[in-house]
Amino acid sequence: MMSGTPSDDRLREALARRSERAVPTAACPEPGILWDLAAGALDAAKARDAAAHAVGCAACREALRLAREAGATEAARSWGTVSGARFFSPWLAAAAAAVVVIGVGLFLMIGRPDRSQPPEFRDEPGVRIDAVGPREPVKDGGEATLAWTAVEGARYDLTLARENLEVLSVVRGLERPEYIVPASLAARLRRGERLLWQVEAVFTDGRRIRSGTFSVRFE
Amino acid sequence: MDAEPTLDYEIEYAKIRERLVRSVRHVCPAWLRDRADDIVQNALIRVLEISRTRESSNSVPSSYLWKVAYSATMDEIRRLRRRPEVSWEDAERGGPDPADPVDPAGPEADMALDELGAASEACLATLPEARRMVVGFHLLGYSAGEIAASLGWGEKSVRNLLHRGLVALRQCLTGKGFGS
Repeated sequence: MMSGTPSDDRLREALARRSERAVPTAACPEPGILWDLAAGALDAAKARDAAAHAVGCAACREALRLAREAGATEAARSWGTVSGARFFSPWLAAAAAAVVVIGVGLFLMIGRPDRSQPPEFRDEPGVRIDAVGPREPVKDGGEATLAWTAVEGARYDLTLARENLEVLSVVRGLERPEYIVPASLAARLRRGERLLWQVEAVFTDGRRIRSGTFSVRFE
Repeated sequence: MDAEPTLDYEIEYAKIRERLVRSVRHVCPAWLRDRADDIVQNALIRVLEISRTRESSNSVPSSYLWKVAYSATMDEIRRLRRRPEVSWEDAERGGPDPADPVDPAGPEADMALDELGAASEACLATLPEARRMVVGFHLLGYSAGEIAASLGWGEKSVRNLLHRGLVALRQCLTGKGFGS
């Protein structure tokens, strides 16, 4: 770097500031195009067109920064398929609507996710994690022990979420295939609400196997 | 037993929501950061509405969900940018426009940053296209590998273009009085 010239970080800050007041124009590519650009999913000609516009457009620069922050560049590396009986369920829509009603404040209660852990879903043929318990709804004040089938040689990361999709806790590095839900966490659930939980078996070489999402009702 | 392995996408939505809120808070200016929860929540509700049409799908690529959620979030941000809203309190007291965050370093530092931003944009525009694109991505925080993947170029070429581009950019900035 030449002496006395602004550092890269200073230039980033200055350019980001230009984006603060930027209003997108009709020439700006659709967000999906910018996501694909960040993810390397466009063919060369389209990538060139989109990039040529975006780097010179303050609004699109912000969009590209957001795409990277949100994980677009990781998408090309590791993402797979979300399995499920159905993509959409009326129950899910109701839960989502509930989130709107509940409002902004609840999100502040979410545990901080680990930035170094991009979403990755890999299947391991022949290995499956099933729920073992609890087999009954948890009675008021009762103890809930979440249990699942063991995976040899793995530790477990456990994600706990409310029905409204708010993640309550992410517990990492469990050595045994079970977890006792702390009373303090259970107390945050409404009577009759279900706690969603999902396990990821983590091997020492970094491979991960994800379970389905299970639920247990707190009565 | 009340354990049903049928709701993977719910956890996926929760992860998407968390990450997008965090990203919006990190990337966007203060007046949008403060609304990150609302922006992402509104976007995800729209994604859920769109997903009704895919009710019969047995599986959905997670990358698709992330892309759709990002797109909806960007649409929401663009909508807000086109129709900036001023809080009632700000309007009543004639306070600052929410698009004008206060720089704690003071108005002079504020102005200097504005001038550097304008000069950087102008200098970027003078670079040959390939260098401009690579330097532009670099200044958005993309690594050489990520730039290479995005543009479909070799990483070595990207590094070469980046080096030359940054030298030219700084020469241009020096010519405009930024640095020696």
